Amino acid sequence: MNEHGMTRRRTLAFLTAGAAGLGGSLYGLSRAGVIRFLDDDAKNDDPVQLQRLPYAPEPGRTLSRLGFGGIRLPILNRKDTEIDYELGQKLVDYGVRHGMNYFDTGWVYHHGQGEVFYGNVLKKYPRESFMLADKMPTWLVHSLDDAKRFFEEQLKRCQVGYFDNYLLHSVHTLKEFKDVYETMGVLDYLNDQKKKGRIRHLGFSFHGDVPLMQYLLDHYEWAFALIMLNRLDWDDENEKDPKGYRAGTLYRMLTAKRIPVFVMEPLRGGILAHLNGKARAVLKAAEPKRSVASWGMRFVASLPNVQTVLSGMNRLDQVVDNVRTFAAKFEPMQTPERAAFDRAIGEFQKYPIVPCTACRYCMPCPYGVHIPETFAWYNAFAGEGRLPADSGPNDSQALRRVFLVSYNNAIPPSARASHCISCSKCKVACPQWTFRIPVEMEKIERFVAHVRARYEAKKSGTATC
Amino acid sequence: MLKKMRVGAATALFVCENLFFIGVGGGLGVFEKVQLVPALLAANIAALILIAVVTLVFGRLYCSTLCPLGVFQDLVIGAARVFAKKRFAIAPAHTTLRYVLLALVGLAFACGIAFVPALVDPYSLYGRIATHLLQPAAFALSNAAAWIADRCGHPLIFKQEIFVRSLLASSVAFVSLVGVGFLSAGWGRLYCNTVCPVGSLLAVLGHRPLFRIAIDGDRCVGCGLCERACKAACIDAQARTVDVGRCVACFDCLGSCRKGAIRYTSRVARIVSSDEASGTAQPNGTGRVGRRGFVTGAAVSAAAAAAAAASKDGRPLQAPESPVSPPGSGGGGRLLTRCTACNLCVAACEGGVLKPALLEYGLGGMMMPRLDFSRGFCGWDCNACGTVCPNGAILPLALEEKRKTKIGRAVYVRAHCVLVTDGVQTCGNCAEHCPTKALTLVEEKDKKKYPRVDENLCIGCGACEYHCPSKPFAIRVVGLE
Repeated sequence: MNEHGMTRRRTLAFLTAGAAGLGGSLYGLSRAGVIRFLDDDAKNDDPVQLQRLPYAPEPGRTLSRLGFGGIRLPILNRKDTEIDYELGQKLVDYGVRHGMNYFDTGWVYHHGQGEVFYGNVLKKYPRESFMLADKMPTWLVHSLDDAKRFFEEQLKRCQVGYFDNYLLHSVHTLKEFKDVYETMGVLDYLNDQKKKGRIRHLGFSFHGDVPLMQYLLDHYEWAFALIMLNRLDWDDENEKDPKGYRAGTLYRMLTAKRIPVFVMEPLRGGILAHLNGKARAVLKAAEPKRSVASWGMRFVASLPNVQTVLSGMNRLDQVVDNVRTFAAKFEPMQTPERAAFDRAIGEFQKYPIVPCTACRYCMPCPYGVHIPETFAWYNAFAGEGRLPADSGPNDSQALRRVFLVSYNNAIPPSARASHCISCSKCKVACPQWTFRIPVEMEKIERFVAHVRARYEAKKSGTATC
Repeated sequence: MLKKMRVGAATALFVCENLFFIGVGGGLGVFEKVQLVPALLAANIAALILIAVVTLVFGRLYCSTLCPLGVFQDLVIGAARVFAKKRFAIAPAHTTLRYVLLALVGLAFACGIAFVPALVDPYSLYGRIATHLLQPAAFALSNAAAWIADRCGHPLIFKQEIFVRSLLASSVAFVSLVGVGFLSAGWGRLYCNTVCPVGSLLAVLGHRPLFRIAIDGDRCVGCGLCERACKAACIDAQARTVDVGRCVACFDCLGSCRKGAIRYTSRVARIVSSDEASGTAQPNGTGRVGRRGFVTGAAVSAAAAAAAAASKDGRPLQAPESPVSPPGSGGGGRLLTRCTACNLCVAACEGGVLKPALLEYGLGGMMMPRLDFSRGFCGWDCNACGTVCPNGAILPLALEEKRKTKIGRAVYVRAHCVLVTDGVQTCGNCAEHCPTKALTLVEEKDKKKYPRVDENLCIGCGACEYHCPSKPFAIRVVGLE
């Protein structure tokens, strides 16, 4: 939590310093302040423009390097379904003003309200001026009729006649792909829609492994692909025994097929914007004025076949920072910069965390567990090497107390890990396959119980002494 | 001087009593244990002797210092004096009413309708105010501090859950607070001298104490200042008499007299021997009426007790399913003969599982503690309820002993289980959280593992019910009776 505040403060300081170029200054991060900032920015005649790259599947078209992610829009009353339209509209306008022309959404985003939001806020712009991407929610499709219903409803929600990019959402097992897209015939249906001009380009969003990618590339033609790509999931060409998603391998496979790569989770759900104290120190030493997040962003954008990077757009400091990173004068990462980044990542990876990206596909948990919140709380300790231990420097009663208090205060009793029954409904929804939610939940529950027992034992021990 | 000592003692005791209710201060519970009704019920001889001796020697000092409701009323009266310029005047004693009420309270208790004494016993009445109104307020403050500490990056204060534990008990606490506050703001210690059973008992014991307030007829000019200062409305300035049975020994009158005519003095000293007969104990003959009233009351209550003993069932109005009562209470039957629903155990319960009952124990057992597993379960490492109970209604158990004490039994209803209703493959959350391993999972034909309860091992702590994901709960803990 401390670290969170520090990053934000630092980002703020940095932003205030760099704000002259954006023609405005920040008034703090209250909602009203954000709106004032955006209103002021709207009066600027010469906004910084994002870099644009030509889009191969559609000659003559250029796409902004930064795309508007639709999964984490600003909300009201902490309710995922209540999108803050006033602020959201101004953020979209801000993006457009700065040259952003790629907007991405999905059936499940904000429980359907994400698509409705785009429909409402984009209608004031000419249809040809922006590119809209939507996705077929693979795991919710049980029949071809489902798929048809979803697609028609999506066009209605978005108030458009066609989608520029349309994706098979979250392809992550071969069995599921075959069931839904081959056996049920959903892929044929989507190709029909493409012929009818209701889909301009067909692609997929990918959460699977290398063999699945191989299958997709061997059997079908794709205009583009959206993959999870970031420094933490990246593997180099000759890396020994690579673990995780092997995003590097996936990227190289797509590049070999000349399929443009769209990037999601460039910061792995914000993990790369925080890292940990030691990693941040390395980055700060290398480039004192730049945000932590900008390193991760520059890493992915420096890959030549990366078309557009999608980023959640709910916090102004992030948006402004991203616009700055992807501005027209963008230069790819050079060797010394990459070396510093690798050093920082090395520091970060010394302390393993639960690699949850807080996409919230798992929510709501049928049994009330706050899944992403629990992982975020746990990671705040794990990532900084501050998990209480039975020996060594972390064998401290004070640390145990801080750990237990922060768990108590961060997660309400009825939403704690002890209420997870391993029903595995989240497993189906979770696009991450490098960890299993119920397994991690059980580990966390056991760990907390252990720390609590030890804390109580030591407490009563010292009391009697 | 005397008044300052009384105020000092009262303040200290009141603060300690309240802190203990809020949950701060481990050793402060002793002041709850020396309250009269709890001491009577717990047969706490030492405390009873202490109270009796103090009352016989000093009068009803108890009501002005140890009794939290008395001190609370003094706070209200103090505020009324300052902000509303409240002055008092001699009022007739409701002696007969008082002892009839005392008799009725005794009668209700003898009949097993413990709810009635629980309602008027001053300690328990205040205890519910502390538990249901003061503690949440204190929690709100500490949560605010916790929020700030969290924000500063130093999570050091545990946030507490604030919720209405029982609508009934909270409403009763609120109505009591407003009612008693209203009475004391308008009529001083009217509650203590009419309704309060402790006040009535102590009035009998302390109507002729060794030391008491007396007016020196030679010095008195009949100005009436003392009468106006007397919140017990027991000084008659014109007649120059003090009704000692109603005097709560607050010493407010001593400072009010400019002639030094009113004093706290020994009966043996006999300063005003000529005025003795009319000067102290018997204004308008109340002393005699008092005795008569008490005798009437005692007779009524004796008759009632006999009647109650004759009717075999001590608890005529009981709900059909038996509730789970706290470990050390010996079941609902015993609990109801000892508990006055001060709800101190509810305030102290770490697991948040104790709640004031509605009708689970029957009409007579309203507001008495029962276990409700919707927000928590009886903690394996906690024996707080027994340790704090001043009544001996929940006996203090060592942790080892408490862990072996069976308070209920788990009942599994398969039709409600998520394995059946939600079509999930695994659950077993009940067995996973059972501290005694009374629950085991047994695989059946459908390859799912269903829980089995071993009645011999189950202590009824409710960890299974609390962790059960089914709605309604597929595993429930029911009382033993």
